[in-house]
Amino acid sequence: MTKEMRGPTYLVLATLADGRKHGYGIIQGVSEVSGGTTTLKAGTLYAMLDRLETEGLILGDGEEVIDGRLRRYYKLTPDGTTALAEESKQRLRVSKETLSRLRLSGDVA
Amino acid sequence: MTTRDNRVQSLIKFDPRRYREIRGDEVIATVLDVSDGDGGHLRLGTQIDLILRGLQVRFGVTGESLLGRSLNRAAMPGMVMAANFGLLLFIFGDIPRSSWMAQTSINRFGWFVSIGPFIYLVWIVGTIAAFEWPTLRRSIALLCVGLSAVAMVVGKLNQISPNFWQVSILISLGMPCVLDPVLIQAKRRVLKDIGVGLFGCLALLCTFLPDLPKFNLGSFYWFGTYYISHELPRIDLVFILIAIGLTMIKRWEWLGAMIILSGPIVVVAVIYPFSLTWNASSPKVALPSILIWIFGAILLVFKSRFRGTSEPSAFAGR
Repeated sequence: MTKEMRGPTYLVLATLADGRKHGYGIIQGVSEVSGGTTTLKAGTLYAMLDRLETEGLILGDGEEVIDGRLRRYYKLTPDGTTALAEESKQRLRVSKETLSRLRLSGDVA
Repeated sequence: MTTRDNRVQSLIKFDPRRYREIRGDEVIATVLDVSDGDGGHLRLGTQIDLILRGLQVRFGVTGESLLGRSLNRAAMPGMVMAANFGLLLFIFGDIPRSSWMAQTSINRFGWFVSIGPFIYLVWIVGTIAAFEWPTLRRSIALLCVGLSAVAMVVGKLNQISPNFWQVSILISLGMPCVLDPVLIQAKRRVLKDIGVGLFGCLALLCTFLPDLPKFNLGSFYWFGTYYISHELPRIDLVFILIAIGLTMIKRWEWLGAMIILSGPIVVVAVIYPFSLTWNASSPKVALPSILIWIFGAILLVFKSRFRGTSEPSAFAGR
């Protein structure tokens, strides 16, 4: 994937890394993965899910009705998994490099 | 069904019907789940977010639609055009060019005929700021629009209002930046945006070449809109040539951006003569121009309508 991935998109894909989730599950997952710093609103989430589905990074994976509420599940596609892995490696590389520079300057132990 | 359920149902009605058929029940369930997590409280932010999303999908102003991508392409070039138009107006717009002009202005805004220079400066500074802080560009453009509107009202009340049509063009050129659905760009296009904006300005300026000798300080305030209207055939020619070029290379998003950015010029050029008290005839090409522009705009919106290919849920409506 050559396109730079935006933070919230990365968080949504990261949330789906350990298996399929429904809308509210993704919102909770994003909050957990981001350490509570990012809370997605439903409208924003579905805008993102529409886009990710169009880009072929996620797909619907079944649905069920619980307590009268329809839950549609989403999972990563192979392309989505690859994109997420590449982005994670890239972010890790940048973080490692940043930390080593900070250590060199003596600002971080 | 509780009041909260009814509220969510009504919020979903902002979505187009096809979108509701595919996603409606699912979105409602998620919103209710979120609300349960908040102790049954339906936050105002969530409601506004749903309405905005619904309107965006309804009018095709999403990051995936042609209109959304065209607005994205038009956003910063529009700001560049607004800044350059602001600069043109700053130099040729509101400086009293003669003692006659200075005397006929009842009130004055400092050295100037109207409060216009404040508005022009807002757009020039705003455009620079939008390039400097791209993630804030929507707020910056909105601020420019808001300040221009407030300045117009203040100007009107104090009889130092700038030329309404020219400020309308400025505001309209900034609107794509306000409506651009893509807030964070994957790739910045500073040079391209500046280049396209400058090209747009130069292309329009070329249409004024025969009128340039008539320009002097302050003249644009009085005659600028007349020139725009008077030169409509040349302006049309420029737009048509650009449109043909973009169609040949199949750059549909840029063609959409051109339709969006040409709107303010064409509309003002056509409507302006009707606002005059003296008998100023519209250019002969006025009607075909506005019709072609409306056709292009309708095509752009039509092409951007939501056409979900997914099937509605088997459980939908249960």
